[in-house]
Amino acid sequence: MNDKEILRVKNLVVDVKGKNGKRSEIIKNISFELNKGECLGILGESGSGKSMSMKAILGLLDSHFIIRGSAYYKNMDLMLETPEKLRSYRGNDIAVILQNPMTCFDPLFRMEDQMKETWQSHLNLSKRELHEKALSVLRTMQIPNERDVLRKYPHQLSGGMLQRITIGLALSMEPEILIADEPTSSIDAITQFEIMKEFQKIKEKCGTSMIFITHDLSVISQVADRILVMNQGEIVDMGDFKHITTKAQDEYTRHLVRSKMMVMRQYNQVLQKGETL
Amino acid sequence: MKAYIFKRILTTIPLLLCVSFLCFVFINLIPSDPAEVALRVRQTPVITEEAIEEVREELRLNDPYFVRYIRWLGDCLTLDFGVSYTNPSRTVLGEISRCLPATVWLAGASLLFVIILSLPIGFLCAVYQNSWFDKLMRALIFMTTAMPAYWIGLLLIWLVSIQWDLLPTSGSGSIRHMILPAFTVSLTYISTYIRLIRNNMLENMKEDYVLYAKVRGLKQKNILVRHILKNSLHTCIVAIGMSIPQLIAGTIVVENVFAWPGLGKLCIESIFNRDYPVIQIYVLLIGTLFVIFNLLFDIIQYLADPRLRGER
Amino acid sequence: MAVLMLGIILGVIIAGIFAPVVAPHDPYKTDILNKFAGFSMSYPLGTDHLGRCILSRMIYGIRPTLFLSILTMTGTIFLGMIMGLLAGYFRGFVDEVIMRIVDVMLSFPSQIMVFAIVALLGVDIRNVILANVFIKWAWYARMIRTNVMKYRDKNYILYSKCIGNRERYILFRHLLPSISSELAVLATLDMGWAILNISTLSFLKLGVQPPTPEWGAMLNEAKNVMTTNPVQMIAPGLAIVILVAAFHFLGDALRDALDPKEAEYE
Repeated sequence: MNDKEILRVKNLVVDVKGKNGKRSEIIKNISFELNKGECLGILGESGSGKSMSMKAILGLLDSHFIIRGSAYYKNMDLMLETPEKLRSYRGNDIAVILQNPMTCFDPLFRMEDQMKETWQSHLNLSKRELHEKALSVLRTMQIPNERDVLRKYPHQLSGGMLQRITIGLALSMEPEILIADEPTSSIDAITQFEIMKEFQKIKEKCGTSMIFITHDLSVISQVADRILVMNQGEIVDMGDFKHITTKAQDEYTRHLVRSKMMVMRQYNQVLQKGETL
Repeated sequence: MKAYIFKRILTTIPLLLCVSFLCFVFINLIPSDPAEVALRVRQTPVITEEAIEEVREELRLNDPYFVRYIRWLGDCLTLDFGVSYTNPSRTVLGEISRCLPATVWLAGASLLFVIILSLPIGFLCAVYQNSWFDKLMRALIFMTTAMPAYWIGLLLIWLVSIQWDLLPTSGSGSIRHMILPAFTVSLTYISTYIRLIRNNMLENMKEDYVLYAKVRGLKQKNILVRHILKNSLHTCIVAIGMSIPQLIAGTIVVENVFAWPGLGKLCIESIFNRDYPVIQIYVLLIGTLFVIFNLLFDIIQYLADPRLRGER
Repeated sequence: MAVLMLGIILGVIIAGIFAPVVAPHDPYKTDILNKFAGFSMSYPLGTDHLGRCILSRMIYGIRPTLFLSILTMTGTIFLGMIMGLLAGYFRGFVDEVIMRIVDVMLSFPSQIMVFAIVALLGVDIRNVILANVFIKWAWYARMIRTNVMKYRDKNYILYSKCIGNRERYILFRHLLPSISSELAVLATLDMGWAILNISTLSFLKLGVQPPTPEWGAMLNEAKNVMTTNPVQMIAPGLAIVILVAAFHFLGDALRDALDPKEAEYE
């Protein structure tokens, strides 16, 4: 592992144990690295193993899964760490943003409790400091009426607002790595645009290393420096956006690009028609 | 919020009427003529046709069915349940209120057993899913669902009371009398609630909010107790609340095994003695309890859930 | 395992049918001089308080216990099926009325209903069976109705409608096979419930009357001599547990076999 890299995943294999002792490979020997300050995009259809590899690295898979291989973070192999050590990394060193903000929060607790809980697990702060921190996160994310928002339950807030809160929460711990797992897929188009702007801002201002997981080629093109294409548990292609769209070696990647491009072209045509009308 | 509670209370009224009507129909379906029974209750030496007709007039039994139902319902609301057929010196109200405390005590003790056993066991089974403990508990649950409660009661009496001489075999009077019957009653429900809590927690573990909590590095203990357990209990509130009337109704068999002087024993005795008014009121009581507890815990669940409570 | 359970159930059924051949003694023959006899070659499970052979009584007891349970389930399924089919087939008003009755039935405490009905009709095993059928049919009616609704819009039913098959014919030809697997699971599991219920009522002397041998009634007799001869209550209780567990196990196994998706969650 050289100085440039912050995360290096080597020969990662994940097997799942079936009911009658059958084993099937979900992740088939993948290796990749994330450089400091880089945004790595992972592209693939649902079920291609994108989220699964993220969970494997973070130690979030239960005993149904057998994990082999290594994932070096700052010269430590995460696969060999104790669960408690891994827990202390999660949220603190490696922050994650998930797909559906509407279901990410416990419906029975107020936002303030759930935000505070994150910091209480890692830091030693007084009640007052926790409250101040919660307010400041909401302010940074430009959420209006922050005092009211803290008292609300998740169901009372919109998806876009909740996703901005999860982003704010993730950044508040100043993580080394930010993993975004389909952060825009279950949000409406207008909010999606806003959320993507947040990610671009993070990239420009904070310089956080990022892994951006998505199935959406157009979304990935906006942030990723380098793109990994996954299909059925394997990495089938790697390179920058231009490489992926023009010089992809793999048949599956080309198929993916073709179909996305077609949709985008149609979309643009419709837009142009709309303008000429 | 108030509108919901009001609406919920309103919808239970037809249900209660339905229950009471069934109970009223019940006593009118019995093979014997109520007028004749009334005469026997009054210990009239010779029952003649005229006497029956007289009593019919007196009890207004010739009125239309519906009118009689309304009158009966009015009597019930003023707790006038009539007199026992077998022992005319006793009122049904007296019989029920004599036996009710014993049953309530027994059901209460059983509830205690159910809660202190099923909650931690269900929790542990879910947390250590497929461990030896979980498997052992599931095997035990499987066995208890196949065991007749009265047989367990008999075995317990034989083992604990006769062999070890630790607790009294039957009867009532002290807390020591209560332990065995209460445990026997609770056993059936314990397995149900262990399964309920376990499966509910396992369901909740698959939820997104658990993944997000893990991803933020929350401590496992916090996730399990504060979030998963709380959410699971939340979905079980009504089921757990309904266990109270179920326990009261469920004592019927066990009371007869342990000679516990409660409602269940009264009910079985009344069945043998064909003491219909007592059975009728017993059924009415249990039916009403079911409806009321259902209403009560529905409202509690509603109030406890911020999504339903309608905070916007 | 499932095969073993099936074997147990079949074995018990056969023993019940051929009770006169299998049983070593007459279950009613009392021999007061030989009461509370221990295990021996001629009395494998000993004798009870009247000197009757417990094994013979156990074997004869299969008849009321198991066969009455089968009768109960047959009646329940029959009634439930008719109601469910009616509701699902005619929909509209009929459906509305039947389903309201079902709702009331399901919300009422079933145990109490059994006692109420037995009280009303008189203490007799026939009334116990009637009562059991009466409180259980609603479950089947609802299940069958749901399935009828679900399958009505399935492709192959629409297809057979298109090629002009009569609707009633379609319903029976296609629907019953598709429901039958779910029905089998439910009925197998409920067999355990029926056995427990009938034996419980017999134990309370509300069902099968002595001296007829029935496992629950035998336990009641054993209860009275518990201090002098506790062994007497082992055999009937154990037999109930094994038989009920066998049915439960078989039901679970059937469900896993018929619905592989459920099995994965376990």
